[in-house]
Amino acid sequence: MSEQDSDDGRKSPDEDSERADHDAILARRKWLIASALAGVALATEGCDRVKSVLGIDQPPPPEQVTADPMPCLSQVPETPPQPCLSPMIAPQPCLAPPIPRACLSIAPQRLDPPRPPPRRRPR
Amino acid sequence: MAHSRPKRYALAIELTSYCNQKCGYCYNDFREDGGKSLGSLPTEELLALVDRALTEVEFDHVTLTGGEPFARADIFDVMDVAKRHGVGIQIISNGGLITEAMATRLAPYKPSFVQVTLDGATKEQHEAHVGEGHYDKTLRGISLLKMQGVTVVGCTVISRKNAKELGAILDQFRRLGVTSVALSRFSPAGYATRNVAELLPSRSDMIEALSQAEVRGRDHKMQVQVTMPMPPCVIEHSDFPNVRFGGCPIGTEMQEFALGPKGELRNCTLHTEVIGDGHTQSFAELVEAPAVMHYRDVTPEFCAPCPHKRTCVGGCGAAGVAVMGKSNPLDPFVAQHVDDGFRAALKEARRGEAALVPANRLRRASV
Repeated sequence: MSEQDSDDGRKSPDEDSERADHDAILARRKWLIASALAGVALATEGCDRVKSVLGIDQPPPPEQVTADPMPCLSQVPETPPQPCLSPMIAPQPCLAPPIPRACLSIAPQRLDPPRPPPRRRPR
Repeated sequence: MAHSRPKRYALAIELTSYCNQKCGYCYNDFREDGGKSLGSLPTEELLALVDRALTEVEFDHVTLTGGEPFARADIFDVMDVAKRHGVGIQIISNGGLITEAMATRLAPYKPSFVQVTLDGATKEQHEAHVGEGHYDKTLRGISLLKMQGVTVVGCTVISRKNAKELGAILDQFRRLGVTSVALSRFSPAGYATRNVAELLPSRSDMIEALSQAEVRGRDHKMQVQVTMPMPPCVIEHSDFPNVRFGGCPIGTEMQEFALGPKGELRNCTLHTEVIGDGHTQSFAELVEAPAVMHYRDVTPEFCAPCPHKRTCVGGCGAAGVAVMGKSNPLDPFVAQHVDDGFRAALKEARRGEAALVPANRLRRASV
């Protein structure tokens, strides 16, 4: 018996919370994946069809579940961005995270050579 | 036609591998032996390297870190180089080595902020994370900086030990006059991998911490920003409207590169893999190396079907590689809940039945 099990065999609060975390992540992942599928399905089938097929609530707009890239570990500056980046970052109140614009988008295309086959994970 | 320099958000300069604190959550690989084997570059060499980095790449700002950056008296010379290039300055410090003279000298440089970490609202709790004898010194450092008008931003590394006390820590920051706080989370890269079982917070721990932060953001207008990735499958960001979230910036122009104590360039301060040597290679080429540009191409297996994998990249890849290994580097913050093998190993380690051996220690042992 696990040390976290109580004497009468019931699960401890820690185990309950662990199970809840596990289930919540898997459910949420399923929902995120379904939201992408729903995006495709919506174009062809409409809302009702999507709901009945997937058995989940309608997904939120993508911007509610994504995060802008930003450096880990440190706050963003209180002062406005310096000149070299100012055209790319929208003016914003203190400490709001910087918002990447088109030119700050992921993996700039101009330098992308042909992608290597995915033999190894690069990190 | 003139060749334009690549633009990147930040360069974190690890001025020294030495640190006066002994934090259990330290992501620096060189914390292993207190930085002794690595040391630091001589002043002239460091200044020349920084000067060239800022000449070849258009950085928005530099982040001076370490080790403890104030352990180097020539930190002001580095700031002179940054000023000459017109780039901003941020400093990450534990505050413990800051003297009145240093704070007075620092003020005219007008750094965007000095970020100081407090991991407990009490001496006992803070020192349980960073080692004995540092709490009062950190509070004094914050006070000296504020007296000189230097902006201080707080930081708390959320761990299994302090997650439920975050509200009290934020209240302590507020009493110290610090209202902007970076919420980091224990991310086991580098040295920290040896403390995964002890410090890794669960999803529930994190939700508790964020709930307490949300109240301080809402009621006291504290600016609370999560500065480590929180994958959307674990945390619903919109549940915490008064807390700001961001994602891993590697491979984007928002990236903060790390220039190590020996002049090596890495993808970030947590990653140990070296992109190249700043002494012998062009920084303009290094920031566009395949290890940077293709970083986001591959994500952990668990994330493969997720529509957010390109933005989320599975959380902290550095921690993923360090703990789980290169073949499937899922962030341990996620893996603890979805990887049965890792979950079992964590449980055993927490019961004291078996030590959890992270991938980077296996590698070390096999070398």
